[in-house]
Amino acid sequence: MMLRQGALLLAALALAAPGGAQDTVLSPGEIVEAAPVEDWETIAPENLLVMTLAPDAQGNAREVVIQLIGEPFSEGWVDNIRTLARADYWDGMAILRVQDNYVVQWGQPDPGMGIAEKPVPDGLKVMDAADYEAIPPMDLQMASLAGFGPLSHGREIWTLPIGTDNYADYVTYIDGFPIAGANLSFETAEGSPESPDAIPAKGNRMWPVHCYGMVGVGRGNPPDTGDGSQLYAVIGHAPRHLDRNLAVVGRVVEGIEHLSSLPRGKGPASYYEDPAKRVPILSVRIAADLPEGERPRFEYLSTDSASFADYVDARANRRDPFFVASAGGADICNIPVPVRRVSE
Amino acid sequence: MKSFVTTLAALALALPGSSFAQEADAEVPAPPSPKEVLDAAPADAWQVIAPEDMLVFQLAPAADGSERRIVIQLMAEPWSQKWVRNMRKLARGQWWDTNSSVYRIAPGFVAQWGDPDEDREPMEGLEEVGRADFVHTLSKPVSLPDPCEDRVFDNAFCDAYAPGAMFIGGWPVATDGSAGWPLHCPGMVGVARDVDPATGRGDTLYTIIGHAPRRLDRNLAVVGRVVEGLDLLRTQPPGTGEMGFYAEGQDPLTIQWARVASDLAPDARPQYKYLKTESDTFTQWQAALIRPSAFYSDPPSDFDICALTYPVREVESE
Repeated sequence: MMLRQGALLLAALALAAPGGAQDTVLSPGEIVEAAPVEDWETIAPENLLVMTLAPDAQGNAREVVIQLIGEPFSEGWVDNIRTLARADYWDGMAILRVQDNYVVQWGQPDPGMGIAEKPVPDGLKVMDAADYEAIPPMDLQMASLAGFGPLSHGREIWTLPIGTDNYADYVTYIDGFPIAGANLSFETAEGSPESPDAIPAKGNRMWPVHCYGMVGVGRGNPPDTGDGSQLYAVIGHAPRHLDRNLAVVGRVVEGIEHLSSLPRGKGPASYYEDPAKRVPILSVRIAADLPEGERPRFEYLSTDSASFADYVDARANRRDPFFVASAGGADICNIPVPVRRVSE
Repeated sequence: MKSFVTTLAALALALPGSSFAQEADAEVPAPPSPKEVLDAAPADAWQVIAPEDMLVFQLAPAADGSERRIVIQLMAEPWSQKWVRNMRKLARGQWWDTNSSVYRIAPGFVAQWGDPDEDREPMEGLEEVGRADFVHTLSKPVSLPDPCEDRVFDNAFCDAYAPGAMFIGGWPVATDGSAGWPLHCPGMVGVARDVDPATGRGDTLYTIIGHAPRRLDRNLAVVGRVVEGLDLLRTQPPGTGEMGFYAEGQDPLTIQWARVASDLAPDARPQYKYLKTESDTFTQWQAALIRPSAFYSDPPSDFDICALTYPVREVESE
């Protein structure tokens, strides 16, 4: 909210004003706060990546926690990232590129940065461009075939109003991640859906979306798809043109400010030319490999829960006191999945 | 699609009806990148920003002594003009020369500046504002073709927040057919207010440093865009207080003064230009954005309007 500082208290008072229950309008944040514990999903320690950067100039610790995306998305790359982390691959490497309103990039250097390539461990999987996409679950396929209805509550699968995403036929959430998809269709070379030979010739795919905070895999020119040794995080307006062109492997759930506020690189493509500017990476670990007491614990609001449906509705239709006009819609990257740290 | 653009432009703004070619010539042997298109643009594709339409915020120097400033291009008519006039008035009344700083950095959202104590008497003589001023009512309602129906990538954007969006005179705006309003895209500047929409006359400003928070459209006044210093704001230490406000003990970034650029000595004025939306270069630039390249074999055929960083460049000195 764009409140002035002094208005914070006012806003709190306004929300606490007495009134009938039917008058109570919860903000998206309040809906999240009120969500019952069973609507929260714990993120498995196997799916959390903890990147420890060198302390800042004042000596403050800098830790970035990344949630890895689950099946069936980007599986080969995610497996590689676990392999690389378990080989301590990124320890002693650095953040190499920071481009304003775009990405922060670390790990394996690009050719042309003047830094020696670091050999990767054996056994990494090799993916191809088809792996940027996955086959939607049957109910999503059917929904896309039937044409989606308007935003609805409490359904396991819902989408934002159709036709409002500039990059895909539909957008939804699966297991806590924003997902876009192409409708199931039966267009063939012969062109008739009635034809017994009709097969889904295009569409019927889904893929994770490049929103703010998402983490993806750097690569060279196609057909290279990247092995996971070079990663980037989005620090600006969602660069959705990267969807299906690079693999999304997770999102930053804590510590994005340690990346987004780094000085911008001055070299080509915003590389750091001055080695002194490159923030060292002390270590990258899978949380499951840390001693139990040191594991960060996070949970996300289940994207199948009624609380999440209410939250989406409230984000798309602002009714809290500050708002005088409501859009009746939202783009998927403006409805981030709520994630919170679990305190001991 | 084309009629969407020309109808709105003609009715809302009385701009001359402009033609929008649908696609650039696809037969060019080595298609230029978006940057190359802009680099090759003829001089008359650019509009130099009038000094009267820029505000300069002089910041405390960097640790190494180098000068730092934020330059804002003020919003063009007919959008948010009460605030724009107030902002010129505030600068000319030296409002920003006293107790002013950047005191809120909320990563992924906004940077905000003004009087961190918020205890000054508002400047006298500022125009009153109200919720009706967040939009510009069209002189006559128009019926709009749905830009989501025909998904050609041109200057009529399918939009998740409005029946349609487009650039007019270099500014991202949306319309529902009866009113139009400027958009909260990255780098756009707005006026902070309290819960009462009649508060906030231009003495507390913010800019978007993350993903476009389009929910704020029509809820706050969009009064311009940062044309210099956005990276500086994005790299300030995040506020550790509530909602990204600077906490006790955090040093806000001091604003020494702000002036309308035309009030500065000619050689101290920033000089910027923006791409004319009605130029052929604009059309060619859009075409280049959706062209496959060596790196992007499968580019999208469309973009959301705020994903495009509108071309604004410093005027090359002679």
